[in-house]
Order: sequence, then C-alpha cells, then structure tokens
Amino acid sequence: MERIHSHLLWIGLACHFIGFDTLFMQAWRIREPVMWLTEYLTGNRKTYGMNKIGGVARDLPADAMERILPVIDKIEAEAVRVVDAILEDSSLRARLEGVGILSTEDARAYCVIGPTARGSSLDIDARRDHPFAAYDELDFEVCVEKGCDIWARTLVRIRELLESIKMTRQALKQMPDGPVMADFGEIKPYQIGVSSVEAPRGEVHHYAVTGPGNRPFRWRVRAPSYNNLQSIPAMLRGAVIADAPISVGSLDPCFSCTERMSVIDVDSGEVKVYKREELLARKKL
Amino acid sequence: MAVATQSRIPPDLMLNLQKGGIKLETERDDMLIASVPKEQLTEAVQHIRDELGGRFITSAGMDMRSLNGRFRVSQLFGLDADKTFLILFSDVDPLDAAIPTITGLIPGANWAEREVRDLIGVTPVGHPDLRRLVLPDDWPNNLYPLRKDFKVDERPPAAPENKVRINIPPKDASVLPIGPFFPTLEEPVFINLFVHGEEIVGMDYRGFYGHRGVEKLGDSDLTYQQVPYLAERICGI
Repeated sequence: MERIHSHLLWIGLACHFIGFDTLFMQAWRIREPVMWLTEYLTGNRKTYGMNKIGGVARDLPADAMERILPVIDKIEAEAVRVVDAILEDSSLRARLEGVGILSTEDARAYCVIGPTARGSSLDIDARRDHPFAAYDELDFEVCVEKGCDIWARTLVRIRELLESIKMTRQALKQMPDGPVMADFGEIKPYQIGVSSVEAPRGEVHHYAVTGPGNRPFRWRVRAPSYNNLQSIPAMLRGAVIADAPISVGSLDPCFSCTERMSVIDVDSGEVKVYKREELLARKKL
Repeated sequence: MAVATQSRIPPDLMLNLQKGGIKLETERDDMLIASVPKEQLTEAVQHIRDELGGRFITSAGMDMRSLNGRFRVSQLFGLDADKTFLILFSDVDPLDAAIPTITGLIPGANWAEREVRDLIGVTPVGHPDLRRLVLPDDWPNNLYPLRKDFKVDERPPAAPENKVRINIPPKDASVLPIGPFFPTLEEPVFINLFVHGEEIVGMDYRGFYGHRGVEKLGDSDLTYQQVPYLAERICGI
C-alpha cells in the first residue's frame, strides 16, 4: 500500500515537473483513497507508527477484507486508465525518452537502488533477494526496464504500481491469524543486525549493534536517496538545463532522507548565516 | 570440518573469501561477518566486488574504544545471488585514524566514506573529495559527534572560519546555482550546475542541510522500542 500511494504520488509530481498538470491531479485523486485506507488500518495517513521491535502495533480490523478489497479494485481500474493515458501520450514520451540517461555501468558504479536501478537494467529487489516480512510467500514480478532513461524509470514505477495492487490482494487473502507482537527480554550486547527493506525508492538499510542496558550501541541508517542522489552528476553531464528538474525528479529523491546524523541547532538564524556564507563563497568564484 | 558441512555458505564462496585475505568471524542465516586488516582492505573489496559479485550498500563507523581501544569501519555488501549480506570490518588505531579509500573501486562509496570521516574521524586516504559531507561547514575541526565521548546534548561553538567550498567548475563554464531551496522539490539542497550555454558539463552537490542528529540520539539515549518511533520520522514519504 505504501508503494501504491508513493508511486502514484511520484507519477503526479513527475507530470507536474514537466507541466502536465491534468495527470498530476488525476494521479493524486486516485491516490487519496489509499491514504484513507492507511488511516483506517493504522490511525495515520502517513508516518503510521505501526512498526515496533517484535512486531506491529495493531492487528488488522475484523472487517479488513470487506473494507479494503473494493477500494483496491477501484484504484486498480482507475490506475489502469491513467497508465494508458501515460503510455499513449506521445508528447509525454518525447519529453522523457532518452532524457536523464543513467547507463547500466554508472548505475552499478554508484550503487543506485530501487526503480532508479531497475530502470537501468539492474535486476535487484530486496523483496526477492533478501526476503523480509512475508514477501517470500507472495507471487510477484520484479519490474526491470532497459531504457536507462526517465521513461524507463516511469515504466518501472507504473508496472510496480499495478504489481503492488495484486500483491495487496494476495497478502490479504493469505493473512494468517495469530499474535502481532512477540516479547523480547534482555538482548545480549554487541550483537550485529542488518535489515534491508525495499521501500518505494529502493532499499532502506538499518545496521544495528546492540549495547549494554538494552539499548543500541550503534545504529546506522541508509535511506535509498543517499545512493540514488550520488548518480545525479553522471545523469546530468551533457544534458540541457531544461531537463535537469525532471532528471533529478526521476529519482523520486527524498532530500530529508539524507538530512541526518549530526548534532546541530537549525534555528532560522543559522539558516540565514548559511545563505550569506554561500553567497560569499559564490562571489569568489 | 563439522563447521564446514553445516555451513550454508557454498564451499566455493568460503574458499573465495579466504583467497581475498578475508577472515570469516561469524556466520548467520542471512549474514556473514568478516574482518580484514585495513592494509588489505582495497584488495579485499576488489575481491568481493569482482569475484563474489558483492554490491556495496554502505559504510558504518563505530567508536569501540571502550571495548577494544579502536575505531571500527564496517563495509556492508549485498551478495544478492546468495541471498546474504556480508559485513567486512577493519579496526583502526585512534593514533593513526586513517583507512585506505574504496571509492576508487566503488564510486558509490564516496559519501559513505566522507560520512565516516565527519562523524567518527577516520580519514579515507586517497579519497577524491575530502570535503565535509554531513556536518555543517561551520562545525569545529577535529570534533566528531558520533564518538562516544561526544555528549548527545553538546553544542559546540560555531567555527565561522570554516567556509563553504564549492568544487572548481571546468574552464570557461558558467555556474548556475540552484538552492539551497527549490531544486525541483521544496526541500533544502544546493546544486551548482556548471554549464556551457544550455549544456550541463558538471555539477556540485551540497545536501545534508537541517541535520537532526538522529543516529546520535539512537546511539545514546533511546531504548530499542523508542528507536522505531524515531526511525519513522527520518522520512514521511
């Protein structure tokens, strides 16, 4: 469901970046019922607060099947219409095909992931390669395209959108009964754990080392945009300025995902100092 | 031999690890933890990349001085075909806090290595771009926030003498600055496009504005059950 709403969000944004606001509005209109469903399931439209160490915060409501399946069916029917509109639109295709090229070699060198990798022929997907949750019990296709351009990244996301709708149906029908949380007691210190989760933009990695006092000793997070953004120079070299926004946008980047780590007080005064410093640095060039 | 027969690692993979000078420390269902002396790190990484099909994921620096007097730099790889992760670590003497760079072999390690340097203070020797990555430009020199002796609520004074440095643009190129706000998305990032007319010939990227100290908080003050709450707030989409 996260992938369904996220890819619809991206389709909308991408269309907006290139001035196709009708599709932007249609994509976001279709997306809205997904947000209603996540609110119904978790209490929140976003930032669900469901994941806990040992399980999830709440079980599916008793009427989940009846509530979710009809909405999913409707979203699918509407998404197919939007997808058809995208695939048949020659101007959209002309705008995206051959633009924002990231060769397979560059994609591998910069270690990009998610739809950015799969749009450049890299057949990787943590849901299949490092199965987590119940993905090894679901039947799904890893969507790979060979175009290495924005059009290919678009096709990957479109196919994944439709694939995710099918997977939601499968998961609902196969959902077993049972507890949703497991107890854990004291965890031995200095144990290493790695988790890899295929988020809509690519793998999210958490690397953890347990510590004394039942607290983490080291916790390292790597969000997918961290690696995808590093490929921008390769993608933009030789391009024209007008293609830069949609090229950057084609990564579906999340800048906040790379804003982590250091201890700094970001009040408005400090931001102002930054602007001035950077302007001064610019002046010297 | 008993261990080898129980091992789920293919024997040729095991042999291959040893050939790369890599010492296997722990083997778990979906993970191999191995070590290599830092002097042999680049050979080992090349071996993992070329012979094992390892896909670089990220680096993680860790201050282990309270345990063994060392800093530890771990490299995470996905051995996707074997459905396994490989963690390769090297311990580093704080008196010589340097490690050979692997960015020459894996361009995608560029940021991860700079981040280890910013936060733990282990320098990747030979790295092509040793500017700061995640710390603000006016952060004092030689102060590494992910070291355990740096307190989570410490607020060092600004060091305004540390200036923003933008990479030198190619000759004759004009610089088109975009940001720190509004490059496509309304989030803070500073992109300098180097252009010849309409054509982009290079660029410089400065992100990591608005840092929130998330990992430091997780490493110091939080319990396991509090970490997921914080982790979710790294990103809302």
